[in-house]
Amino acid sequence: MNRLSSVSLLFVVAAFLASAQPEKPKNPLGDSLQIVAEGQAIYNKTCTGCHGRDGGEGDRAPSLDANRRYFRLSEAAIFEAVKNGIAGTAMPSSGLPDKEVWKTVAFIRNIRGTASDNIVPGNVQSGMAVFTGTGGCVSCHMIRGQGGTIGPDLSSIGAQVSLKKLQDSLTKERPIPNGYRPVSVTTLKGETIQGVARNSDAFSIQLLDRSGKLHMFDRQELQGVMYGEHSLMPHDFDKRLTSEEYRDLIAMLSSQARTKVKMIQQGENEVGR
Amino acid sequence: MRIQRFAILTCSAVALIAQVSDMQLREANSANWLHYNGSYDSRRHSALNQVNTTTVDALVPKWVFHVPGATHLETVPIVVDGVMYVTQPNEVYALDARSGRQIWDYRRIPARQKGPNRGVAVWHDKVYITTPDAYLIALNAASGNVIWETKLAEANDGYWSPAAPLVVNGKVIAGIAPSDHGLNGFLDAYDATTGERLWRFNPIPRPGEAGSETWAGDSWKQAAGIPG
Repeated sequence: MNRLSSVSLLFVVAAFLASAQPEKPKNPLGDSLQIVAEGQAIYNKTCTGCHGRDGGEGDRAPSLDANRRYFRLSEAAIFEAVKNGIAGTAMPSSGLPDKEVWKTVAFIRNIRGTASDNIVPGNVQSGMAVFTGTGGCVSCHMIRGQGGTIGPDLSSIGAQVSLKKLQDSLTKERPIPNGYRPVSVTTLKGETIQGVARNSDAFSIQLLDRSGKLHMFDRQELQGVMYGEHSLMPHDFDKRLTSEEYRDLIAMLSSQARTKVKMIQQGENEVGR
Repeated sequence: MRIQRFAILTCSAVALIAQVSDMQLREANSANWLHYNGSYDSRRHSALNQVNTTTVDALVPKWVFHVPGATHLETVPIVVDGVMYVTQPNEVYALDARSGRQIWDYRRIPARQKGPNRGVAVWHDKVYITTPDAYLIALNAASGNVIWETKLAEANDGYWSPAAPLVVNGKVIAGIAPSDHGLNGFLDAYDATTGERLWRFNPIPRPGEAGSETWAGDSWKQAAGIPG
């Protein structure tokens, strides 16, 4: 056989092998709200011996929601883990029929998404009224160009964090985000300025005050710099608002997805970081 | 001292800090650099005289800011009362001009990869930038928050915008860079407060517009016009 024919044969074999690769199975049931809800019921019945309820952390197995990165991202990879277990770990085969496994997969994929991936109960319009009114959020936070600047812009918050993290931000004390540490400085003339330190080091400080004005100081120009220990963000909205107001506020914030920023890639990668 | 954690919630009014007035833009005071070209008449000259023929050999770096991931920069730093704004495509950085420390950054997502970007325009409490996907974006000058964004043209048709905008009497003048790609250019004016388009000028007249009779047949379609 001459060289040309050998090369041609190689191409033919390669093409055959490529076409023979099996397609990764996809969830035949889809990811509708009903399938997710059914998957949640199956999960809470079957998996909570080790994992926590609703995907949270359990006594013997980790949480499955969007609080960390995962090795198994694709539908096929999660299906494989639920169906057959994970070799070398305590994760056993679930023993569920395929249809129920797929429903569980739909649920796990859903809880790993950002808040805007979920169908969140509540009235978005009323939630915006809470944001600008009784909640008082708008004095610090901005949505689509309207609001204060001393807190982070929330125009895309629904696409940046999970629903759980969003709820936690409103109800639990959380670490101060970078660039929002409360600070009070006193100038050499004795003037006191309060705000957040957008940046600071041993030599200078860049302070955004409560009226939205920037102040930049060399440390030598200051006689005192006092940092606050807690975030300016209140975390009792589940108490200070009525349950309807709180629900609507969460629904409104979840829907804010000006820019789609996925925390977790839900591609078909078998192995993530 | 304990910071009053809820005090902020009680201040309902959001103060608007007017940073750059029309008067300042006209005067182009030497302490600032408010336009891409330094002034409306594009002199690109600073009246500051600390650096001159007798001191130039003693220049030393005061600070360095590394623009993340930059390969080449074509931005003209804009300076407003001690804040310096520098850009690269899809990104704006506000720096403390004395120390080089970053105050805020803005990064457009998704970021279409096309460059360069030549810098921002400033007016009142806003900073304006155009983008590789042919948008004009207004940012809050103190925080970098997006105030509005307006689509100049369809990026999928090949339009994009590297030029620094120019603000004149409350209007943001912005154009696009099509001539390298055989597309017709235009120059727009947008309301600097709202982002609403006020007018569009086609340097190559469309059929029916003044001067269109000088363009034979369909020749106007590939005429380009307006350099980037």
